[in-house]
Amino acid sequence: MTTYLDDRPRSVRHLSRFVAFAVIMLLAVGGLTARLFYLQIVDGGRFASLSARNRTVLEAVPSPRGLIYDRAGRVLVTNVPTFAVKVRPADLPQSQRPQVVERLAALLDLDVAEVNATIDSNPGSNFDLVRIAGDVDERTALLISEAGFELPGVEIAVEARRQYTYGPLLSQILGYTGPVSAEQLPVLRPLGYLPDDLLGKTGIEAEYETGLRGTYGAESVERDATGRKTQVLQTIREASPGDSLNLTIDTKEQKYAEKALKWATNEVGLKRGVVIVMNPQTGEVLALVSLPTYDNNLFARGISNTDYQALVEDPDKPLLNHAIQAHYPPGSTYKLVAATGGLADRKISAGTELATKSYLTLGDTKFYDWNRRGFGACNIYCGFGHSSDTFFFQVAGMLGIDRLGYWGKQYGFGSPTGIDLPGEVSGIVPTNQWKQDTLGAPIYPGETYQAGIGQGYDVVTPLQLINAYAAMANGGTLYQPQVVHDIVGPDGQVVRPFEPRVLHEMDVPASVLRTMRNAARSVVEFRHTYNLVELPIKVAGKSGTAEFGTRDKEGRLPFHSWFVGFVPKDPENGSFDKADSELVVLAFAYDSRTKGNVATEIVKYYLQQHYGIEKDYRLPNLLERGNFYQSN
Amino acid sequence: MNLTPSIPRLGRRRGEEAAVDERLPMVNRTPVKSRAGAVRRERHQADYVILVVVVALTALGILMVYSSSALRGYLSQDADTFATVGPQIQWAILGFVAMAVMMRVDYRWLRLASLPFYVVAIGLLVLVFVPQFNIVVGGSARWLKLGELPAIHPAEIAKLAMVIYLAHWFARRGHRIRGFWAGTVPFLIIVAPIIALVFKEPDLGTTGVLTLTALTMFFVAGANLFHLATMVTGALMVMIVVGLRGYQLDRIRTWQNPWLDPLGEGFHTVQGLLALGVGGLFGTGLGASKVFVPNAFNDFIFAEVGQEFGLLGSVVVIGLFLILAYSGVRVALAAPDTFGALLAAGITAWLCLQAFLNIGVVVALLPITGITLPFISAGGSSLIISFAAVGILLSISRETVEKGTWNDDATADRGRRDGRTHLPGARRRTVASRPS
Repeated sequence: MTTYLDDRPRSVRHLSRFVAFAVIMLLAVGGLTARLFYLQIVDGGRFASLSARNRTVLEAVPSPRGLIYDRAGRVLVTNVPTFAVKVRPADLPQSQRPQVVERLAALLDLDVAEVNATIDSNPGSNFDLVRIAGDVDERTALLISEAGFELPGVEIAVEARRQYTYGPLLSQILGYTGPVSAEQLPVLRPLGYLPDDLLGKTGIEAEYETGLRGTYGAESVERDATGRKTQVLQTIREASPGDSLNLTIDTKEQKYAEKALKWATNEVGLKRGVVIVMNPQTGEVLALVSLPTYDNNLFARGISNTDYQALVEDPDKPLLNHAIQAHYPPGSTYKLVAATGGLADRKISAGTELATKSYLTLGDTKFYDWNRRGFGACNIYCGFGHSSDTFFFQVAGMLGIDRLGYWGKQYGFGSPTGIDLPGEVSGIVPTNQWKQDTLGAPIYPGETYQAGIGQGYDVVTPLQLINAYAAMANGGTLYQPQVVHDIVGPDGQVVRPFEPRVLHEMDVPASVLRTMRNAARSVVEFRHTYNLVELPIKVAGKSGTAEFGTRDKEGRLPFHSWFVGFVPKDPENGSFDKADSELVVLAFAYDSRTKGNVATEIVKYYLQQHYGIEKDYRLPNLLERGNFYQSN
Repeated sequence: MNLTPSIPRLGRRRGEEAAVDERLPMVNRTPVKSRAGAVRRERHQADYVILVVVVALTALGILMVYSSSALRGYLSQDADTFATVGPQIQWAILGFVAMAVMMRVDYRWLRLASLPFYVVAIGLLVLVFVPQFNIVVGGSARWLKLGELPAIHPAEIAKLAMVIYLAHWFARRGHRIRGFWAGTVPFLIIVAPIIALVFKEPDLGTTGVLTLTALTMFFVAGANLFHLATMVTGALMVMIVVGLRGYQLDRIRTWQNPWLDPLGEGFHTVQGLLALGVGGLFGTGLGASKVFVPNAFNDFIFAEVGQEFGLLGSVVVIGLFLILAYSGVRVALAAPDTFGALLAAGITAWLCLQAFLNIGVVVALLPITGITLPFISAGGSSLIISFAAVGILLSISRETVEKGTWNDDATADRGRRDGRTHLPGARRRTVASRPS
């Protein structure tokens, strides 16, 4: 045909081509019609049955959150099915919303404004569920699901709530789960989180969130016109349960530690205190108590605003884990650093005797010992054993602030220990550089003296302090403390076995640390810690009294009490020449102001329970308030 | 329903045609065949079949847009069921006005405007890439927002501008279009900027419509078939190379088997197929859709038609486009000059190809590209420009030469020499015209 047209040179319009175009159009229409006939008639029945009167939606299938056990296999947290009330705003017609919200608020015993605010602050889209209330009792849940037609857009969901077996005892370690916040959602949404999802907010629940959560599954679900699930069409991805955790924490030890701390705090009337128990050979944390505490079950259930405000506004900060999330002056316990540094840098030897007078003069200032009589000529055992301030003023002076800082860092002070709990603070190790950077001035010699006895700028977390003593007790290895022993996958296979993590080997000869362990034993033997020496087990350690705050009208400063003690592998006959200790205990009492060192009594009480010592060596009269400058 | 009996055709005279009977204009338009060979030009009523088709499609579109957007509008902040369809009605009215105006304008004037219009269209496409003016939706910068004016879709304007300019240029080139250097190469240079700019937005669907429309016009204008075949092969190769990369590959895979990921990548396709299946022969009824169709008032509105009106409804829509194609080709064949013929063919090709591509996507014969169904999908730019194009088509249909038109014309030449028409291009040929 083309040739025919080509024979006609005047022709510009080619009939054949127009016809060809029309034919192509006709073919296209024919093809589409055939396809439509196939889709709508031949194959239509299948599609129609798939979707007749229903709609298909993609739904996430929450994975069971991993469980947490203590080192003896005790279950610390379980998942309990509970009813939650949720609203899908897209299904809630605007015109009916006031009545629906009113009825819902009445059923749930909530404020109408509160329900409205929750719906309006929905971070997701209108088609995402908004969680109105969790842990609803069964009767209310049934009532709401019955009233489906009168409460359009309201759904009852069964969700797993975390039930913490021991509540406040382990709250500071385990933390809790809570709803995803509007700020977090944009970050979490790509990771598969839903707007009405729960996630770990703090503690282990937050630190191990990814593993505990597992992988949510997905299934296409058929829903009828009222939004009820009629059948699961297809499982697109199976939900894979979260990993389980076995903690290094021993609930029994945790209870001993809490009992010891609570006894002392009740006796004295204290608010804040910390007890930590560790195995210095591995860095495992056996117990970690921080008072005051809170009940994480309150959070898991959905804490009320008033309860939450009360916790936030409490001056003793129960939501804070004082063992890692706050730092305090370490007082005389920090003399470990000056002593180790003095020996390792050969400023003194084990036999070097320094005169310990009642005070040291620096310029016009007198630096008094806590004991105004002094201890005479004193070697390291005498200086550490009696905790002579003037002895360590001199050692600190010989070292200088930068070497003192170096040894502080060798013991792990000044940086987080890296424990697998969130929110750890780093403390401060003062050096010339640090003061220049933060305060814009060099260190004054007097400040070096203060730094040598754990006052002034020195601040440490209780965990750093126990970790430093653990390094001394194990012969110079600074471990990263761990609270999670191993991780077990849903199939029972160990995903991550326990292995000690070494932060660094200390740059110190073994002999120096042996001297220090014996010096720590002399603290007990000199009865600086009263009757601790009478215990049928051998304890070495160091007490500390750390002044802080402002002087009262008699010119006295309030103070915290510290004690860190450790016991050799063979508690009765062991020797501190060996670095084989498997138990180190720290007690910290905030603002104690007691006659004696309350921390020592706490450790003593803990050890009595731990070793099952029948006789009670506690000295309650030391826990009376008053009498400053008595036990340093 | 019109219960009045139809008026016998015989009794009607000019001036009594106020009540439009769709059959009537057909009578008027049919040229009286004459063996004398003299060309008689006629000015008469426009081809009202086209008008009826377009109005029917638009009305159905408004209905479907309302049906599929009312609930969404109701659930939004201001509970306005007219949120989407309200503007659509306004656009339709404006489009109707544009069509009426274009219909009354002698389409030959467009030849004067063709080049400036083409340049403006390219300018607007370039402006899309200026961040102050564009609106980015889903990673594609397709919308232009100039000051207080409503957002416009420059690619829609580009379609019309390209069709007008190509018709003008082909008509002027005459036979030389067959040449490689005189025809094929300049053709490529003309269409390249528009196609490249739209591709860059990126808007693959519109790129496809533009490319196919341009090639169709080139074909109809008398392109060298070898050149054309080479170009089509080249275009296919480019498509394959481009299509086998990144997310486009995923799209292809989804297109091949949407059920692999029915709630992710394949969601649109699967819901569209479900909707069509649920529709069956007679459909679920207007507003009674049971399957949720994403983008139901836009790219996937055909699935909503198939759901609510069944196979009958969807075939009617396809049939209306077929009538449009048929009428358009008729107009092209009867047009008094080459420009008119090519313009009519171009407009017809564009609207029908776009429709068939859109429907092809919904029935999963083509991968998802995101183009609208002309006259039915919601969208102001698309509606107004489509109406204006149909206005031009109607304007061409108002004039016909008797005798088919394929050996026409160039009015200036008519009556000279042997009384036949000659084209400038033809005159330069060595072979003299032979009597037919």
